Parts: sequence; structure tokens; C-alpha cells
Amino acid sequence: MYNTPPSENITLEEFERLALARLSVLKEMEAYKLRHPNKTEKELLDKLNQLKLKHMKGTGLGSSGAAGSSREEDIRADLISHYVLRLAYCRTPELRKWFLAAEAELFRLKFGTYSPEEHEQFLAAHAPQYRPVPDDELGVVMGDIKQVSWTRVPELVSGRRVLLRGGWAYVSREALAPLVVAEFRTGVSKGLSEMARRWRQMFPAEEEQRLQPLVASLANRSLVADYSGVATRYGDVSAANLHQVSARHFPLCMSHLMTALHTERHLRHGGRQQLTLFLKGIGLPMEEALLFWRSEFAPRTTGEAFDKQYAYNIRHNYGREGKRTDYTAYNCPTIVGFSGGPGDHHGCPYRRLDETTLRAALGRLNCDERKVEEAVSKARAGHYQLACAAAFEGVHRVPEMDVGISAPLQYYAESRRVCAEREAAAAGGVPPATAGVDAAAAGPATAGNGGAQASAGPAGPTPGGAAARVGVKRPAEAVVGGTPGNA
Amino acid sequence: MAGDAAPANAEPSINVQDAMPSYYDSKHAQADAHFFNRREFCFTLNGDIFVRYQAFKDGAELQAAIQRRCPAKIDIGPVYSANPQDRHKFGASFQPLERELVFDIDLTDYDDVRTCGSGGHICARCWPLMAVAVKIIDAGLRQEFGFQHILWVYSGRRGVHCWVCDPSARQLTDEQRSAVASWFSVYKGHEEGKARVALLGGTMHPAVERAAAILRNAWRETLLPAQRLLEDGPHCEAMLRYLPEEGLVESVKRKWATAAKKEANRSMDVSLLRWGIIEEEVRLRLAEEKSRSKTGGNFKVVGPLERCLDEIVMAHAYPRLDMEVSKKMNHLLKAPFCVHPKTGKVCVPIDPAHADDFDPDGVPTVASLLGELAAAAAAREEAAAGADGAAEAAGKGPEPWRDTRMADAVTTFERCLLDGLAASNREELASRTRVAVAVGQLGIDF
Repeated sequence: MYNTPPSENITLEEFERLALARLSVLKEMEAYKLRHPNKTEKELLDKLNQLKLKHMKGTGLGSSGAAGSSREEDIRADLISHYVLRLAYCRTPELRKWFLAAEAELFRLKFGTYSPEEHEQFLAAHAPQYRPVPDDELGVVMGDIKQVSWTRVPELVSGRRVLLRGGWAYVSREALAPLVVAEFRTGVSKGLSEMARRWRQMFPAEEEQRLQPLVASLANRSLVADYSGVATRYGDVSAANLHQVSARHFPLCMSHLMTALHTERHLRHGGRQQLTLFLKGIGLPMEEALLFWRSEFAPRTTGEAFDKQYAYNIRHNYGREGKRTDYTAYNCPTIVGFSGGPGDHHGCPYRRLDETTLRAALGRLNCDERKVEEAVSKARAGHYQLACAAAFEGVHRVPEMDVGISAPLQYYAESRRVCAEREAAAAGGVPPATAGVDAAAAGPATAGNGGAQASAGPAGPTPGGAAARVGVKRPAEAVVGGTPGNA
Repeated sequence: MAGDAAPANAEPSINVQDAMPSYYDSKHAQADAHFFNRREFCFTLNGDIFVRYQAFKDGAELQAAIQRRCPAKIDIGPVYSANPQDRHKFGASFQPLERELVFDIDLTDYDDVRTCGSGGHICARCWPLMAVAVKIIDAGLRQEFGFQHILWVYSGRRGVHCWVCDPSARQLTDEQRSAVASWFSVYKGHEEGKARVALLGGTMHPAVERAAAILRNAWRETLLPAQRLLEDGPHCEAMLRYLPEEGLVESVKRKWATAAKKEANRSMDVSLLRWGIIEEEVRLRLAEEKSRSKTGGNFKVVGPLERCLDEIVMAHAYPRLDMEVSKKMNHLLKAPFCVHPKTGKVCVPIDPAHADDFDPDGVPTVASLLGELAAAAAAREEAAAGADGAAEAAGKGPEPWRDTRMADAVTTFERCLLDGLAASNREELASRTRVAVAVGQLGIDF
């Protein structure tokens, strides 16, 4: 449960090595989950052990089978690396959120391997609020059940996976794990905010020069793959050429929205959000966006009504209104998670469209016949991102890319890259830099992604010119964002 | 409209505000004056101008502000950590602390399954959908979550709002609020031309089963006949799509055709008749499948058959919550007793036990209230002129609204929410006092 931080002296090297090893495991685990959303627990666990072996060999953090590492060593390394990362990731809400999610996932997998006795011990020690149920309370004896206030187990309540009566949740042993994970989350979350609050006092005065930059840099090494470079790389996108660009380069979710918008002269809120943020992501300036939406909404919505009802929202998405957040485009897991009523067009079309409509839509994208079938069958099996990848291959007639699409922006960037290369080749020139969008992101963050990306593009030497910078989050910005109390 | 709406608008608020302290504060109404003034109110002025983050010292100040600005609509937000008007002083530490758990159910979300109209439309034929939603959610909140102080309010046009006011409900985190909302959400949007209804596989969850039982009754008694869903048309076709087998659809259609010819059936409601045939056909098909083998048939065939009837009922009638409203502590919701800016109807409380009898077209409106006020005043004058002193004295009170139909609405409000809340507040106060005394005595003993 990581209740007490370690207190001992360790070398700077070990400090950094342990932290990086754990970071790699967390990051790659995340990438793995994103890419294969339908893996079983067992497969995830195998992957985790494999990653641990790869990154933590010799650090004492490897799985207990690794030679020369005792159980105490394991625990010590686990504790230290966890706390170092906690230190590095406590500084902004965004970092905290990521770290929390990644650690909770790790904990969940670990907890799943415990035996019933270990579970019992763990609960007694760390979560005494789970009370055994008196035998006669439910009228029937239901075996091994605990009762707890429902507010403790929102996760189970939200999935309707418990029995509720009078505010008590009755929880079976199988359902316990998420509860304990939730407790773990709360614990770590509290620890993180506490740490952020006391950040200044965390380091002894003489260490400020040495440790603080190291810790601060840990977090920057590794922000999630981002496609912000896409916006400027391939020339301007404007309201005038948007439909043309859309036809060639947009993934189905976005071109579907474009079509719906164009024919219905309107989109409902979910669709507007999904599309504006994406358009912003590919570099459509705000003024152009307003122009575009206004003209698409006409004549059903007059210019005046548009300004009144919709313009604010677009400006808000661009960070010019309200709390002025610079929103980023949705990625696939978010979009796949959307649901909507009959009049809604947002969400992932591979999930939401029925087979005939999907087939027709893919046909309109001029997708290869065989690939259409592949995409449809993948979609039916619930592998929406792989379905999208199949469509990409079909539309651009490229060899198989064994990864799914993880964000509409990725699809767009890949599409532009492929087309740019083709054009350059046709013109007889040397192909421009072809590094995958995020292949160049520094640090372990996207190492997994990068490796996979490389196989997606056509082979060939890829001197990383301008393209190599695409995936790198500007470090300066991250540092500024992360430094508290400078103002 | 807002101009003449205002006086009547303010009228019921007077009484409500008198009662507000016990509604707002469980610790002790009079003891904590700094509770009410941290509550956000949002006024919508004429021309869709939102004035957010307003707070008032007490009911009188709120009343004065309402009368001065004549808001077309009043929304209630959360209680913040500080007076919302000073929010800039507090920066990030300005956070919502408490807020009733609220729900919003709107008939527009049922547009694909109602036949009588769409959008802002509401009538006696679609109200049963709301009534059954009220019953299901109310029972769930009470039995499953153990909440007691629940207020249902007509939203003024085409839906209902629910305010859960238990102290524990007011302090729920956003995550817990989402969990409650998801607990009640079975309808998950549309896919492949059918409503996707979650979690009907295998045995039903007890909570869903309870809702299904309510729905099955309501389906035959009110929903089906009122909505005439099975008369020829797109809705009827859509419903047949839920039947898992083509052959079944065919045989149902054949039976419909023969049944239509029978003289005896003429008097019967077409939808009910046809539904009876669907049920019968599914039952026969199920029996046939089960008798095929000792193990009770292929579960891949039996499962969908067993589920399809409930699926139809759930898809058409299970409450469709506007989830976003419930999920966040700082979501605004229209105040009870507010006047709906478009319809002029007053958002009166609904007694969940009599939700069926509620008539959305019969609620008091600004115009009707003004009429009643004038009539009451006239009657009083007449009585006074008639020199019947005793009767006149009784009728003339400081609260003229008591002579209007608002009196009934306020009585419902008191019966359904305020009385219970006040009682439990008194109890809590008493127990706190007892604890304080006990601790005090402990101190003396030492």
C-alpha cells in the first residue's frame, strides 16, 4: 500500500536507475494496454512480468525469479522507485493523474495474483472497513461476502456489480479487488497532493541543486505521444480546403462527422466537440474554424444565431474563453467510449454504425474491397482501433501496420506522411524524412510505440529531419507548467 | 413575458425561503449563517444572459434580488467553500463542497420511442413514461441507496427533476455521483437501429429486475395503449427488430393478420392485442426450443428468446437520465417553484407515490395564478362589503398565494420533503447536544 516512504541513503545512480526502470514498465504497460484493449488479465500479467524482466533486471525489481534478488531486495526497490516517481509526478494535476492511473493498474495486476489467505490478511491490515456480513442479514447465506458503505465502492456501483440495500453494498470476494485498488488509489492520490503541497520542503537545502533538477526532469522525459507537430508540417489547413483534406486524410470518425455536418447542416454537441478539437489539432486556426462552422451551419442556422449559440463553444475549445484551457483532441479510447442517441454522429463509427452503413461509408472513402471486409470483421469483433488501421491500409494501399490507430490525429499524420512521400517520389525527388509521428519522442515514453510505428511506414533509411521533432513535447513548456509558486 | 411573470414568480419563493434553512443546513439552520451565503444562484435574465455565482445572505435578500431583476429562470448550484462572489480571492481553494444529488429526465430523450410528438412536446400520452421513471428511480434511491429526503419536481415543460437532499447525498464526490447515475442507466444509446440496453445477459441484476417488474406492469396498463406503439408504422417495425429470429417475426405478422379479421377483437386496443400475440409466439417458440433436448435447448437460441420481451420493454420505457447533470457537483439545475420561461408553468413538486395522477398540463401557470390572485382579492372585497366579518378575517392573511393553487404545491413540498428533513435535522441536533453534554460531563468528572 506504500504507506511509509523509505528512509535510507542511496546513490544518485541507483536513485535514477530505479526510477527510470519503473517508469519504463509503467509507460510500456500503458502503451500495451492502449494498443490491445481486449487482452485478458493473464496476458497483461505476462506482459508485465516480461517488462519487469526487461527493465528491472539487476535492480532488484525484477520478478522474484530473477537470480540474486531476494524478496526483501524486491520490496526495497519497489518502494524506492515508487516514491521517487511519486516525487517526480506530484507536481501538476496532469502528471498526478497519469501516475495514479498507471500505478493503480500495476497494483491491480499484482493484487490479482494473491491467494485467498493473502487477500484476507491484506484486508485486515489495510482495509478494516470491509465488514463481514452477519449471517441472517440478507435472509440467505451467500457465502463469502463483505458489506461496506456504497460510497466506498463507486466503481462497482457504477457497473451494477454489487447488491445494494439501504446504502450498504454487499461485495463478494471476486469483486473485492477493484475495491482494494480504489483504496490504493485514494492512498496514493492523497500522498501525491500532500507531496505537491510540501514540495519546497522535500529537499534539504544542500540537495536543491542536485536532486531537484533530476526529479523534475524525470517527469518531462516522458509525456505521452503527442501530435502537435502535425499542425504545422503539411501546409495550411483552412476552411476553404477542409473538405478536400477531409476526403483524403481524415479517419472515418471525422469524415463521417464532416459528411453528417454537410448534409444535415448541423451537428449535435458531442459531434461538434469531437470535430472542432480534431480540426484544431490538425492546425485549423480559430478564425478559420469559426468561418467553417458558420458556413456549414448555414442556411439552417443564421449567422447571427450561430454567433449566439455556437461561436462561444468553439472559442472555448481554442482556449479563448472561460478558464482558457488549451484543449487537446480526443484519442481513440475516449472516442470509442462515447455513446449517443439516434441523432448523434460522434463516437467511433466502427463501434456505432451497423454493418451495412459501415460498409457503405468505407466504400465512400474509396477503401480497398478486401480491406473493407477486414475492417468490418474487426469492428464486429470489437477491435475498433485495428479496424481503423485496416481501413487506413485499404484507403492508402499500404502494407499491413500491425498496430491499431490510437488517435484520429495519428491517422491524419500518417496519412499526410504517406501522401507526401508518394508525391515526392512521383516528382522524382528523394523522399523526405519519414520517421513515424511519435517515433522520435525522447525517453522511454513511446519506445513501444516507436518500435511499432517503424513497421507501419514503408521501409527505408529515415534520417530524422524536421519530422523527428514532431512527437517531442516541447520540454520548456512542460517545465514551466510544472513549476509551482514561481509567480 | 418575464415582465409580468416576476410578481407571481416571487410569490411562492417567500414561503419556500422561510423553510430554506432547514433544507440547506443539517447542522443547525440558525447556527450557521455562513452556509446559505455560500450557495450559488444563477439568474437567467431576458435575452439568455446568464448571471452566475450569485449568493445571498438570506431568503429576504434573495427575494429582493428576484423582484428587482425579474430573472426568467433561476438555477441553483452547489455550496462552495466560500461566498461565490468572492471566488477570485480564493483561487484554487474555491471549491464546491456540498450539493444535492440531482437527476434530470427529459422526454426529448425518448423521441425515438414516443409516437405522440417530439422535442418540447408533452401530453397525457407520454407522461406515463415520466411517471414510471419517477417510480423506478425513487424506489431505487430509497431501497438501494438508503436515501430518504427526495424531492421530485416537474421541470415546467417536458421532464422531471429530482433532488436528493440527505446530508450524505449532498456530500458525495463527483465519482460517487457518476456511480449512482451509471447504476440507474440501462439505456446506452443507439446502435444498429436498436436501443442498446446494458446488462440483460444471463440473470438480471436485482435492481434491474425490480425496475423490469415495474415496467412490465406499466407497459400493459399505460405505456402501450397510450403510445399505440404497435399500430402500423415505423415504431412497430422497429419493435419487431428486437425479435431474435426472422421466422418469429413472420409468424407474429401472420397471427396479427388473422386476429385483425376476428370480429371480437375489434373492440380491443390494437397495440395490446398485438403485444399479446408477440408474447404468445415467443412463449411457444421458447417451449418448442426447450423441448428439443433434455438440457433445455441451445442456450444461444434460448437466451435471446428469453430476453427479447424484456429488451423491448426496457428499450422503450426504462428511464433515460441526462447523465451529465448528475455527475458533477457544480452542475446547475433549475430551482423548484421557478417558472419555466417558455411555457409559463410553475415547476411544482410531484409526489412520487402519485406520479401517475400528475397532469403536466394542469399545473399552475403564471397567468392562471395571477387570475386566481385577482379572483381571491375580489372575493375578499366582496366578503368585506357583505360585512360578514368572521369569514373575511380568516381569508385575509399575509400570504395571498394561499388562496391559489400554489397552496397545494407547497403542501406537496412540505409533505414530500420539508417535514421529513426538518424532523431528521431536529433529531440530529438533539443527538449532537447529547454527545456534547456527555463529553462535558466527562470533563467535569476528571
